[in-house]
Amino acid sequence: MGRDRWSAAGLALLAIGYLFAARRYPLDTLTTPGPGIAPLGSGLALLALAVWLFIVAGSVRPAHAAGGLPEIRVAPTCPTESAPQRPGSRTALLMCGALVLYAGLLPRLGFLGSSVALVVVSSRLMGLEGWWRPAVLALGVTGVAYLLFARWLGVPLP
Amino acid sequence: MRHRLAFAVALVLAAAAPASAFPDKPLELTVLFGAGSAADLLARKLAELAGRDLGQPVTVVNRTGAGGALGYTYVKGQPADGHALVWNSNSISTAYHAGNMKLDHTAFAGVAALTSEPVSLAVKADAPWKDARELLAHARANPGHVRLGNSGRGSFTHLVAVALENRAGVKLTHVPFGRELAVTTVLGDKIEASVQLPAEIMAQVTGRQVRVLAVSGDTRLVSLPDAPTLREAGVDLTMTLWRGVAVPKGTPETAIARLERAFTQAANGPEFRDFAARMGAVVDVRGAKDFDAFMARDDREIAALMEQIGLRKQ
Amino acid sequence: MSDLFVALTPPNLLACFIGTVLGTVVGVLPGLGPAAAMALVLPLTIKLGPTAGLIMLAGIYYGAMYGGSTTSILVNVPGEAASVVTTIDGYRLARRGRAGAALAVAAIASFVAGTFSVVALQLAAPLVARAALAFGPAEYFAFALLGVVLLANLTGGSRAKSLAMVVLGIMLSTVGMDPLGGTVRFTFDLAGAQAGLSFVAVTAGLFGVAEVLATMADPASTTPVARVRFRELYPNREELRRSVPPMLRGTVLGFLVGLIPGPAATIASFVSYGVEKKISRHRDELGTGAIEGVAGPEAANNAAAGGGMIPLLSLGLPFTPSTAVLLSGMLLMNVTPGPFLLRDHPQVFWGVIGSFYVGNVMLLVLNLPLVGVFARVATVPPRFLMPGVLVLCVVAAYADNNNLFDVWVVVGAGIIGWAMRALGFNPAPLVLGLVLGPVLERAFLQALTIARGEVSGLWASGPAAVMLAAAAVAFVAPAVLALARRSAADPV
Repeated sequence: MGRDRWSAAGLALLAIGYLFAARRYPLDTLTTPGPGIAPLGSGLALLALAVWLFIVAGSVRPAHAAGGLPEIRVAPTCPTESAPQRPGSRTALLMCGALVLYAGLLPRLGFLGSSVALVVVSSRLMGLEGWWRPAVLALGVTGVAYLLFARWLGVPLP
Repeated sequence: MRHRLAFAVALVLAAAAPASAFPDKPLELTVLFGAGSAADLLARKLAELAGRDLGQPVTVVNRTGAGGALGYTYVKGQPADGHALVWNSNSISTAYHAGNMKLDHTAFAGVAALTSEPVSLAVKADAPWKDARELLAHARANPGHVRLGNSGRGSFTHLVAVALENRAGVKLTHVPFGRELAVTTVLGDKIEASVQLPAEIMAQVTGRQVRVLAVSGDTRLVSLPDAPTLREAGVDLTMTLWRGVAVPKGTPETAIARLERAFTQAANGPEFRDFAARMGAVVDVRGAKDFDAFMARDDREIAALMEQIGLRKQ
Repeated sequence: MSDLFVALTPPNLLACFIGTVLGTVVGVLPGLGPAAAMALVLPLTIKLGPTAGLIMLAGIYYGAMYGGSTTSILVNVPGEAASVVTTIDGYRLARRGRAGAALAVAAIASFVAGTFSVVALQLAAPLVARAALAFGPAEYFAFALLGVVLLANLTGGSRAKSLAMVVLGIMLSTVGMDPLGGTVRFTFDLAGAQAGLSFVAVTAGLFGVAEVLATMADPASTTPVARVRFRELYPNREELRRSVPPMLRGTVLGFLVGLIPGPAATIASFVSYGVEKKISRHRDELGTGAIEGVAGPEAANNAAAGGGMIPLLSLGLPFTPSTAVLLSGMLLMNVTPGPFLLRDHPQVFWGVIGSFYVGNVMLLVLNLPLVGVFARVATVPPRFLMPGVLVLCVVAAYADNNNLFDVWVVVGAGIIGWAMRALGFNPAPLVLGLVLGPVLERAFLQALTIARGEVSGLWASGPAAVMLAAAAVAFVAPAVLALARRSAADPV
């Protein structure tokens, strides 16, 4: 089963889960339509599209082989091959973890503390060596963001 | 060094007169609606005036979402020391009964109710109905024919329209809109009338594109002198949207009293009166003592109306 | 008419300057919208008096449209909702070392569109305003549906995938309070989710954070841009020549879409991109870093901002949060917009119109030198730049509604966006769904209620019927064409 078929299956599952969660919103009458109509409609639409994608994904390969028009997928600079198999994907996965940790720590450490940590971690992951260069970068970035948003523009950062 | 000194001074002050130490840092007034909306502008003006009196800035922060539930929940989660305020309104009852939040008005202590806004009943300038009586007579003869645009399901304007149906014995078709679009749709001849807060319709009234047939307050509005009250139009109904300042329950009495003084003085001043009038609001001050009872009474009324339209979840 | 020169008096010039500078700042910084900035300075503007005050407020309003493209082009983080489309080609241009060209073209396109829309505003306001009223919920529903069908495949590729992304966007838009009020949906008892998924947070995640993750996963994909010489900072003759037609098309489209209620500037930018994708001479390059993909949408969103002034000035109807603040400002200054504005306050009316001309020139003069400064940002090596982008995305998401939940949204959207790219899904159609979802739902439900439950009310009016038919044709046509082509290729 190809990448697109897996995606289609995933989308179908998502649609079913969504429709399931949407059951509790009433449809009401045609004169006073309720909040359940849009979820029902979009959930069914996604389910139908997932089926379509599943079918298309199966038939594209032969078309390619027959010399049909090659399908332009996404803009070339997007990594079209499955990224998670490359060596760098470990770094990116670590970054995902760091981001989740950041969101969790933000209310506890405050904006300044957690953002300094985020910049240090991410710049190290990007290959910035040593400790004091990331630290200076972190203080600089966080400081500028703080001055700009919190001081001058009055955003109450946590 | 300077900090230590300031700290020492604060300690001495706190020991000497605990009441006068409040407020000892900037205050934050959470507004439940978007920056630039009528509710927001009234709050900003009051925050500016009250901040001058309190000697600490009152920062307005918009936390919008779920008919106000997001902001109420946020303020309730702050320390009850009088520095976290919410610019509240009937939305505390509508958001609670719609099931959008676990908190109701008893989670907060009222500082002061400050303004009220009636709801305006308006039709297009060239509509065949001269006044509210004629419109209601038409609605009575043709049940469901008059389509009335309100500012959202379960919104205060919707509730006023439902109460109007009850009291006038008519059947209307309620069309929920967001803000200004109800008026747009009246102007586009797609619906017959609108129920909106006066600020949303003031420009069209002055531009003579719509006529306000009635307002739901107990007196006429200064800014709409030609629009009679519903009672004058023969419907026994008075409903206004009040706005005020509240703090989480458990805030010290002294802090509440200090805030009450600052905000009521700000609201009663000529500068704010004038400002409010242009936004279609009336200064309608109620102190901390009456405010809680007032909220409770209003809450029961709103609960009953929401029950009737099937939107009451709790 | 001679009142136009009111805008040239020193106090008014100063007000205009401050307004446009503030607008540029707000536009450049993601997460801060013009409406919030306008509400902040409103007390000050009231003290300035109606003419200078409104000139300043208006300056923030259209100035924000200039800055919006800056972060889109440089770091793939949309500065405003209306600049999401600009990321598609703008960011690719920047990665190819043409950041300066993209920024300059964006500024020029904004200038052309801004100026054209004032001329149109001046000449045709009352006439066009009437047309705006013809758009009721039924027409709006048909319009939005047509938009979904025509624009879903904005970035090319598989139609099934693009449509699935649009629908996913619509589904995400149903989180939080439903657009007609009353019911909070899909929040799973998370208090922070009640405000819905913040548009700013979702786009900052899908574009900005996802780009950072993709760069980490594949460092080779973003080789640092070589240092550019000063002459290369600005667009060359070829780039300028290619920008002219999309700019003009975008201006006209944007102006017309601006008359319609709702997120007009955002929709206008999508429409312009969609049109370029279909009819531009270089349509095959769109999506890979074509200057047309910057010129068209940036002209369109500025023209839409100008178009949005028409319902406000001639009918007193604000269709966006920013124009609503302008309206409040007018009411507080005792100036009532509407049919009598010109008669009662000619100085204010012409002063504001005049300031549009002046302000657009100021913005161009202000933004072109900034291009040189900003373009250098693109040459900063990723290991220094990307951590800053992360912080910018998080702050933007939070600043939008001061809601900590939105930080989770930006992080989640970033991770999902990275996964989506890996699977060959493009995030742009999802954003389209996110914008049009509430519009579709609201208009559909309202149209039904207005028709008193008759489904035929959806196509009862001429324009609505035409647009719905066009949507149906556009939906079926590609499949029919593909079938026809296949049967022609191998006859049975």
